[in-house]
Amino acid sequence: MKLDEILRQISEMIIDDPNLDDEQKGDLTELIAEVRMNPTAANVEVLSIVLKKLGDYSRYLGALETINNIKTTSSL
Amino acid sequence: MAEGVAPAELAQAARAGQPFGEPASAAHKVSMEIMAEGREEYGSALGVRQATEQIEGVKEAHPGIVGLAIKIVGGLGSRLEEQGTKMQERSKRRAEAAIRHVDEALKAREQLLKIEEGIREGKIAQTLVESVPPWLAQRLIALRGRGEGIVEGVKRMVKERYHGFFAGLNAKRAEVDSLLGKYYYDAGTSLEKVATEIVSKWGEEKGRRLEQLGQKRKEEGDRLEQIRERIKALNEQFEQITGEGPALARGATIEVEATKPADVTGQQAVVERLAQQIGSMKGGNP
Repeated sequence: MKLDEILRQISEMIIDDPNLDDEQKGDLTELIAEVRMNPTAANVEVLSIVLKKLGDYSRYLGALETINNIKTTSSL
Repeated sequence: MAEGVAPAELAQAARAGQPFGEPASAAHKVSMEIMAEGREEYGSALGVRQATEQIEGVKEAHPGIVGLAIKIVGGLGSRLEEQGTKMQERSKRRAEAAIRHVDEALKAREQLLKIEEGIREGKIAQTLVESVPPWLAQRLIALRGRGEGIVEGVKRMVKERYHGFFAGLNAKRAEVDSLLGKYYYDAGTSLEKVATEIVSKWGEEKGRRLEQLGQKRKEEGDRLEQIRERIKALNEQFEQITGEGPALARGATIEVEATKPADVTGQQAVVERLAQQIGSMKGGNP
């Protein structure tokens, strides 16, 4: 699959992500659009760092919810 | 986000081929401001600072892309902080509500244990007055009026009254059920005894008060009879002196009987006046 197509798909996934607000989605899709327009190795590397943090963010958010549920249950 | 460094502007500047210096400094300013907003804890958990340094370390990347990337990563840390704070507050509110529910339940249980203690120590009536809430006393009376079994009635009423408190306490359900079970068995059984004794004591008290009232009436009647006897004696004394006694004594008797039966003082006054009249007729003390 070409890089451009991969980036397009990632952009669509970001738009559908319920954990992100509109501003975050706007910034991310704009970043991806910039990289698609200028797909140098350095730019793609920057994007990959951001996407890695995006994955971490979703994981941390899920962990927070889980911890919150455990705290709520154990406090009863 | 910092003023004048909107991502779109950074990206536009990058596309326009501006040198690295200015937009990169602006991007750095954005990231520093995000980090300064008190998001360090969650930002640290997410690795925002490290990611920012990584991004800044990609020297050949487009400055606009670098700035936008740093802003996004910093924003993720901020967002994580907001979510975490919200969840902590929600969790705290839930915990406080749960503690309040448990406190209510424990107070109810404590009241019932006081009843139990009162029964064991024989201070049933006093303990009931002190520890049974008015709603429970009213319901007990109402239950007896309907002929409903006290134990079953108490179980039902406790369930109606207190079950709501426990409805949200899913985690300690078994413990709560156990507590309710003890309440049903111990308090329910004992309350039946207590209710029976209350009715019995009420009956005794009512009888005692009637007896006291009867005694008071009897004493009043006795005193009235003594007054009449005195009038009779005075009448005989008067007859011996003048022969006009009966008419005078009859007038005094009518006057005595015209006073209220309980007005012993008034009756005595009439008798004393009669005695003085007789005394003056005799020319000496009555």
